[in-house]
Amino acid sequence: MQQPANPVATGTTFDAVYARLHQIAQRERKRLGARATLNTTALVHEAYLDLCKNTEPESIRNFYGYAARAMRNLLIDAARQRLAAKRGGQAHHTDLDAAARQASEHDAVQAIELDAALRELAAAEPRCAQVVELHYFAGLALEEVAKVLALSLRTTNRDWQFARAWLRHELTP
Amino acid sequence: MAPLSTLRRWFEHCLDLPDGERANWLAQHVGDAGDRARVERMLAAATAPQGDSFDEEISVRIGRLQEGLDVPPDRIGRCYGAFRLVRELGQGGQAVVYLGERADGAFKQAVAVKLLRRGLFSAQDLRGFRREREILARLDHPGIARLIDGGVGEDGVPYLVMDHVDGTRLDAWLQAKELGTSARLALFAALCAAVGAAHRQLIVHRDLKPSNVLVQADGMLKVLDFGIARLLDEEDAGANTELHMLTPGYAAPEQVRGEPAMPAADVHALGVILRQILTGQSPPQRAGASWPSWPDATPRELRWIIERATQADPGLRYRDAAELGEDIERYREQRPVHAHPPGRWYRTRKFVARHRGGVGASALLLLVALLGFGSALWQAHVAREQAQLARTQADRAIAVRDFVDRMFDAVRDGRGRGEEPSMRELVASAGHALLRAPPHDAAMAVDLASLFADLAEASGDLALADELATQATRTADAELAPDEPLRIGAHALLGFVASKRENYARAEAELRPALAALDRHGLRGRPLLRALEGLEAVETMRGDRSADIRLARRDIDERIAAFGADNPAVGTGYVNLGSALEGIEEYAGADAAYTQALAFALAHHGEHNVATAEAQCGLASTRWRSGRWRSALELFRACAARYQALQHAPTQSEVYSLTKWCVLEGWMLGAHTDEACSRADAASTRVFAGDRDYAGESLQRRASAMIERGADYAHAEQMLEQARALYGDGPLNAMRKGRVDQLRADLLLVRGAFAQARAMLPEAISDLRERPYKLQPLLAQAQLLFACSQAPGPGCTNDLRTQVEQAQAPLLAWHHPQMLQVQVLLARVDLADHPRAAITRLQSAIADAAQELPATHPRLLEASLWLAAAQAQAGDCDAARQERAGTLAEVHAAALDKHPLVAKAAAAMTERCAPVTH
Repeated sequence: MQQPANPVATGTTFDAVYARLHQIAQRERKRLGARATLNTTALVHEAYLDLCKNTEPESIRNFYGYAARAMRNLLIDAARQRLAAKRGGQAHHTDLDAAARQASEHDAVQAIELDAALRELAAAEPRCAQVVELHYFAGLALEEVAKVLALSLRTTNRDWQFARAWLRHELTP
Repeated sequence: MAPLSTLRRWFEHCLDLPDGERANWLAQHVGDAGDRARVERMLAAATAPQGDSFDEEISVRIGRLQEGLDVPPDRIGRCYGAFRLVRELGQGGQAVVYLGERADGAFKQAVAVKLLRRGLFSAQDLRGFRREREILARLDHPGIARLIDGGVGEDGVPYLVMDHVDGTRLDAWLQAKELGTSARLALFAALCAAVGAAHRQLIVHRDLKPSNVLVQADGMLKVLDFGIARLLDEEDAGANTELHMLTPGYAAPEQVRGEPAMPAADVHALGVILRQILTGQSPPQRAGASWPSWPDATPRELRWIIERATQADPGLRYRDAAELGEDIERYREQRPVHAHPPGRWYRTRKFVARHRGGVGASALLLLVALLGFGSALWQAHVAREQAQLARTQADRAIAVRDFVDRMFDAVRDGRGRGEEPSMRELVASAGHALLRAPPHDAAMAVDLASLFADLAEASGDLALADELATQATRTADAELAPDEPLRIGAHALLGFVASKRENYARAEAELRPALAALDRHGLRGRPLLRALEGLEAVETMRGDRSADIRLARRDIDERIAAFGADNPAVGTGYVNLGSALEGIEEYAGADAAYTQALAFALAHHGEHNVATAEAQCGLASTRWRSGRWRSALELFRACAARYQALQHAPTQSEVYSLTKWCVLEGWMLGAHTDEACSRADAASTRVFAGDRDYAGESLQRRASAMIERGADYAHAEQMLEQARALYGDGPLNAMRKGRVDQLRADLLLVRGAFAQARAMLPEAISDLRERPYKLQPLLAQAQLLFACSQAPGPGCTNDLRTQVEQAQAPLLAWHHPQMLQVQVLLARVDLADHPRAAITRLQSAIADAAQELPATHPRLLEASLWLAAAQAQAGDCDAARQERAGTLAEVHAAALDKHPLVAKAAAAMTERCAPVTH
């Protein structure tokens, strides 16, 4: 049987995107300091340039799907680690630390709420959840989201409109 | 809470309405107050300006999260369980992997320590984690990397300790060595043996892929991360749709659907790996995408093996890795393999074989496939002149067929174990699959959604029909040209479904333009029939006699044109005509149309068929309304028995028939018989689950029967009040409210609360006039006239009497048993001053009603007692005494002395002929 030159070609995988994004985020974190806000769009863009140069449109679509999901996992994982650390309850803290820690825990809980709301949305309206993920977490404009998901802009807008209203309803106390 | 998809439907419907109409629409269509509030809040959120504080708030939330992306603590040197981390080996989406060694140095053991990114947040999480870990620890095979330990570290991070395997990824290794087919197959057989060992212990890997298979320097193979996918996965509610744990291309379809992974899921991944190993092709990354074609050199038997291993239906794959390994061995030994050339007929045969005995469902499957196939082929035919287009259409025909085939995967998987799916379940399964994942091709998406909306309507699942039809129009509007037949057809169907859901305004809004467009383009067939049928219902509602009949006749003509005069579908046309005529109280015509429909149904479908039951119930309904109660009762019993013999989920028209039957029994026997009413309740609960209007109707039916029976009137009054509170807005509910108020007025008149009844009745009359039926408003008018005679007051105009006389004139010819109630009321008005008129009135009404009612019906006895009273008032004491004595004897015999209506009439004998002895 004829053997092709490269018997096992590998595509862009979720793990690869996650690892690369994580690396870039950590580097930026070191560079900018602990409390700076990173530009997620820029991170995703950089990872894109690293991983997806010269690839077919299909892998590019995959990439953004993975990147949005990876960014979401990255952030939610970070929030969970924070809560887990709290549970660990090691070391002594000053009052000032305690206040900061409380604020940080509050953020973490809010993030996990957002994640949970998205999961619930994904269970019933998976496409809506994808639109949110791509828009909020990969920083894509709705026009770009439409392209990535191969949807009409009209459909994307409708999904977005519903998803946003629902999230707002879920997350607003 | 209603499902999210339902909330979405409501939400989007309201968005299209003007602000002012939303609250009203919601109040009318959304029963649950919580759901209403939810949708209202969502609407408020949606109408807030874009980029408002909420979007900012989300951005801030996401921004804050990044602060947690601290450089991870340097964990090198830390201990997890008995192991110390030595260096980082790699990062994955779910875990970071370190090289570890025994901390106590008791003996040298290199391990891989996996630190999970997810936390274990509850005691239950932790228990599940430990249980899984123990199961995996039992797995001991030279081809599988062992799980040595696992737990939660001091920092709260869950970890797993495994054999550290020093090897090369399978794909990279193959790339480096230039092995021949037989060496590759030997390696694959070893992989099957290792995975098969785990399958014997019912442990499934769940995430087999080349990067999880390492080849060591000695050429031995080790499988990593066995069962870890499950440990990593979060089993919360959303887990089913969480695809991130799955590797696209390798994961089996049932895993993608979120179903529990069985060994067959690993078989799927192994099949993909085998193809990769042999051909060098990469698996398609996207669901629905296909592999490149087979390289010519791939042996046929190996193709069969791979195709069998990667079947979409897990039941058609090899049972487990061992069985797949055996077929590979057979090939290597040049024996015939067990795998067959796969094909759709092979699969269909399999499916039919597994559902043997369930001819109906299997036939439906084929029917559905053929319908889809047929409509696409028809399109291909139309486009014959344009060769290019025809090719596209033919491709679509095949795609449609495959899609339909795929849609039944869930049914095959779930029902393969001997249970026969009902038609409703099959359609629901396919319909939901379509809603979840519509085909990419817009025309095909519209075509299929319309087809299944039609089937869902036929199977009685109106909510699903509505969702599918809505999706079809939405896609059609976004993607297809305005005069595209599919787009027009989708709107016709949506309108038709809306008419079935009694949303007549929406039905009309969809159907008028759809019918105009169909006519403009000369389009006939199914969409036209749907449009006609839906508009007929609209016109019936509106009471536009001529338009309705015109439509119904055209409907029959179209059916004859489309199917031929001798086709069963024409019978449906007669049912529609019958219902149109019945709707405008043209009972002779309706009777003839239904009789025709019944003859058609019996000739074409036989006794046991929905069409036969529907036609018969239609006839029953017409006779019921026109006052031929005895015949109606018999027909209702017969058609209800037919429905029951069919043993399928109740349809809407079945519910209507059962409720009419129940009402009729309530009236005729004065008793709320169990069968009719309990079946009506059960069926309407299934078809209109949670619908408040139907809950109200059920209460109303029971109260109405209680009135006839003379049971606890106080309780009946309460039930009627409850029923009224349940009804929403709209003309149908106006009619229902009118009827409730009329029944309440009945009770008020019995207990002498005339002013109260008088105050309530004018509105009831106008409510009852919302529908074309003439008898109920007449009854309410007679009640008002009587209340006014007892307690004059506002609303008691002088011409009331004339109005009642005029309204009743055309109805007298019907000899309707309910006219008895009208005549009793009028006779009581006349009793004091015109007893002779009262006598004539009562005698003729009693004679009519006695034809249809049982001889001891309380209404008959009541009327006879009033007749005696009128005779006494007129001075015919002998006749009065005789009438009274005879009636009272019957009252005693029937134990109706305490019936309030009867008792009241019995007490009314005036003193002129007293004393009366008997």
